[in-house]
Amino acid sequence: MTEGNGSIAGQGPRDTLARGNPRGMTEGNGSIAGQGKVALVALVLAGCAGSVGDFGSGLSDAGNGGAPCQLSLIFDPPTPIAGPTATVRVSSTLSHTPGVFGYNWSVLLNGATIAVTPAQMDNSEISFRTPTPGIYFVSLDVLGGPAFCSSVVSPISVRAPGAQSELFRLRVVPPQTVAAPLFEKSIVIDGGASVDLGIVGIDRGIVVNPLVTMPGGGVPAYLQFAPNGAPGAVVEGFADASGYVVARLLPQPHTVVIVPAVAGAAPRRIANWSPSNSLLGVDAGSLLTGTVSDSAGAPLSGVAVQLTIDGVPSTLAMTASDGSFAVHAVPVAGATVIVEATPPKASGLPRLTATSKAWNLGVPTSIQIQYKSFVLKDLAGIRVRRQTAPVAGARVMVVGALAPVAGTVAIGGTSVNAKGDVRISATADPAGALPSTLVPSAALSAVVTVADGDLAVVALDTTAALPANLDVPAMQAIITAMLSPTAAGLRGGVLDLVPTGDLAMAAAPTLHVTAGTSGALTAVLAAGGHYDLRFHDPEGRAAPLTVANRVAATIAANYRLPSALRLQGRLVVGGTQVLSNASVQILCDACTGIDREKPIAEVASDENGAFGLAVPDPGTR
Amino acid sequence: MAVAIRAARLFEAFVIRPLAAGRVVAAPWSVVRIVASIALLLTGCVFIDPINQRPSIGIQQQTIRIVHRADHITLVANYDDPEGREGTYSWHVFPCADPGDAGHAVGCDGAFYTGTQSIAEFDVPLVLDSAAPVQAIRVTLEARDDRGAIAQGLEVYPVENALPTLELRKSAHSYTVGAPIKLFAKYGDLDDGPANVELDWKVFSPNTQPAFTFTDLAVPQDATDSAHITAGKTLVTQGTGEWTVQVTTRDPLGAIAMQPVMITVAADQPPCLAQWQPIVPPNGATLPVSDPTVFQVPLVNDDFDVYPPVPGDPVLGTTTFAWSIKTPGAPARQPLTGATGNSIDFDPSAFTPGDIVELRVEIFDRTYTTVQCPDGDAVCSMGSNPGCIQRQTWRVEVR
Repeated sequence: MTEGNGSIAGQGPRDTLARGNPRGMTEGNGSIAGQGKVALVALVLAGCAGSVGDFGSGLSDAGNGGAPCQLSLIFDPPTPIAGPTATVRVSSTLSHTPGVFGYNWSVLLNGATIAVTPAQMDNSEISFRTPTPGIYFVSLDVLGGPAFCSSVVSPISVRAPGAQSELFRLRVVPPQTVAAPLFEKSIVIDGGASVDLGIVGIDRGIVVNPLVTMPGGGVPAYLQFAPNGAPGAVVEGFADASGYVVARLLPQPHTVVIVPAVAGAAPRRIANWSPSNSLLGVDAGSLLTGTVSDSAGAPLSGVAVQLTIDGVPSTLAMTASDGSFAVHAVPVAGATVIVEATPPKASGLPRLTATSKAWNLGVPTSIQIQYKSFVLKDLAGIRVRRQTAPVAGARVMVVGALAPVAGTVAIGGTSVNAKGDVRISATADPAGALPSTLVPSAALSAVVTVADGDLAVVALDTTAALPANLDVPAMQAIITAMLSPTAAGLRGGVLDLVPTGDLAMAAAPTLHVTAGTSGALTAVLAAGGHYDLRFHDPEGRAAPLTVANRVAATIAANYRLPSALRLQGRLVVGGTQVLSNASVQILCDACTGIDREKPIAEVASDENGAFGLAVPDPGTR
Repeated sequence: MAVAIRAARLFEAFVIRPLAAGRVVAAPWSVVRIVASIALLLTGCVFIDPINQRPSIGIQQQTIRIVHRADHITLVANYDDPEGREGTYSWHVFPCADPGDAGHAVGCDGAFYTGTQSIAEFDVPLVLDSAAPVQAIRVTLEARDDRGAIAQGLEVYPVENALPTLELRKSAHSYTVGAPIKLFAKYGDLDDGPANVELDWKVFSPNTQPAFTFTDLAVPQDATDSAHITAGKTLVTQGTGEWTVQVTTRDPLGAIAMQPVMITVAADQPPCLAQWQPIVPPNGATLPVSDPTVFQVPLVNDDFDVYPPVPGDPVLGTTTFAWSIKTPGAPARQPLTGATGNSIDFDPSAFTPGDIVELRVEIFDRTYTTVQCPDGDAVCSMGSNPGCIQRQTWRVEVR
């Protein structure tokens, strides 16, 4: 376990592992290769296949005063790179066990036996060539050794020369039957060859039961606990009516976001909160007031106003008849502040959103939200039709982005332009006619839902005379195929058609299609709708592929998915117990927004805690 | 006596050497004899050549155990010579038909092993020349010291027929109707070898006599274990209840080993939501959502149709998901048609802040049994386990 060498250990009985701290094996930055330090790879003790018990229990005492025997392998180099002359040297150590032993080695790559060369007279050390990158499984049987620590199997990842690296996130969600918090870490994947993560140690965490309190007592709230060491491993919780929340957290400081469920209490972010702290304090924060008015300065009532300060929302306020509002928030100097104003649908006005870091909410001030001048049009009487037949009960969502300026938000003398989003809905009567519905005069779109799953996007330019009819085209069938990197059809592959643009604004759902024979995919899409195509293969034959912003007509006959490499490892919780039936997800590290929460690949760990999934191959130079 | 012998030895060099030197060679032989006798008597020393003692011999198993046919046996000669002389050995081992007669060398074939070392190692033969099974071995050992004294040993070891061995195990993703249940019988026979063992499978169905199939399952043999063969069967039942599969192995001598395995086959159970994200608010509470959020079911447990799917499994399928939404003012919950994946995106900006939106997911396995709870129930469990739910509902507050 010295720097420069990777070590793997088996310790009796065969179902046990206790050399070092398995949890410690995966702490740190989580790099798999290229770190130049200790590379620890998964340990599979021979004989584990049958039952799997707690690691570390019942260690074999070889008559040496109580010290358990330990069989360990040390790889040199710890992060080998394949090459015509590259070799890996493996030495074994059977400690706490006197005697003279025989050593029976085996090395496999993709199921094929690799020749080994003794490197010591007693064969306790070997070397083997690694011309091909991949996961080499090194197994050792110690003949004459104690029965309970006489075998060890250890994979070691041999990197491809010139491998390019890419950062991903590994997320593990333990099953509800296992007491452990969500786990997340960054991992570096080197391209060109499969990678073994070794043992991924999951911390059991600790149970905390803090009180969310404000002057006057505990309050119910929604909470998010983000450990400082792994901000993505957010644990959620709800404080009950008395303010107590129960959560299982990592034993480290957390950033806690609290959204109280009572009026007058401001949501708050608490940094560096220690799980040993029994209190989570909230209060009314600062009372921020302002008004919402139209372009002429007339107050607008019924407008929902909310601020978001560095991601923490304020309370939600509705403007009064005089356009005034008041929200509770916790100002933070230099924070990014988002002000949103959502008018009542009947107003026909867009939702305003303004963002700035220049606003200073720390001093008493007023928030002035003002719309620019809009010409409003009434859709009343427009008939929704399909092939000239009226569509009774059609649901119409008028959507559009009003650029560049839909209004302004001024705070403390700093005025910022606000963009406007239109989302105004209406439902046609039995004759297909729309009721009175005001919308801004702009180049908008209507997302029309004829029936569940039957929808279309229709241009609706309200800058000119309104049309008499809204003709809704039929859904459009598409046929495409998903192919492997070698152009083979990927039967069982999955295509998610994620609505974008107008469809997304109308909250149209993602369509989910499974490939049939030869990877063929068929679906019906909303005419005029734009989609992101997200291909992925649950069987791991190829890496996921995302094709952005396609309409039915621009979807190709087939898509060839990029190469994947296999990523595998083994989950151990609490340092001793294999973690089976846990959700294992690989997520994008560079992504932002909702894409950051969409897994690239996912799988459940098996009864031995092992998992394997396909991730995009970063390739080689 | 011992003193006398030692005395003689003391004088041996003393007396024999002068004689050998030939100082009285010229005298007549009769005179020499008389003179020599008188001389010896006068000196008071009479030399008598020592008597060579017979060595003793014993035969011992290196590891004491019952002997079976084909066993590898190691015998050790326990040789003892009173004078400490080196010995030579002659082993003969004979296969015999009867332990009672073997002591008299009756019913034995010729020696199948001979040896001259102090240790004899051999494999017990399976059969006699007559093809009858070997039931005893007769071991003779003759030891001879360097003066030719001989000791003989005889041992008769009864040879027993090793019973065939049998290990039976079952494996299945779930023990439910229609699910393939794999059965593996690993068998061997110490003396006859696994290839000479007959294997017999019997399936005992429940009283209701449901149909079933029982087909061969190819099992790769363990190249490192030639002493055993593993046979496999796949049982697919069409009915619930207690099933028993009995496996019998029989060696050529009729010895049998039998092992039953009990299988409780249950009806297919509905799938279970095992994980969901984000957290579901408790009754009366809402989940505040201010950013686009992925609502997902990362894990579903089921007899057959799990999520995430298991790659390459010919039996297992995957879960079907159905999502629906109830928005403020909507007359009813609306299905999100086409959203049959394990997740949906929820963008709160598509709604008005303050809206309470209900997002619901229901899961189905291949039987696609409708979730039958009232629409107002946030969760639904259709099986006997209330912890296994097929419906989950998030009550979301748009922020």
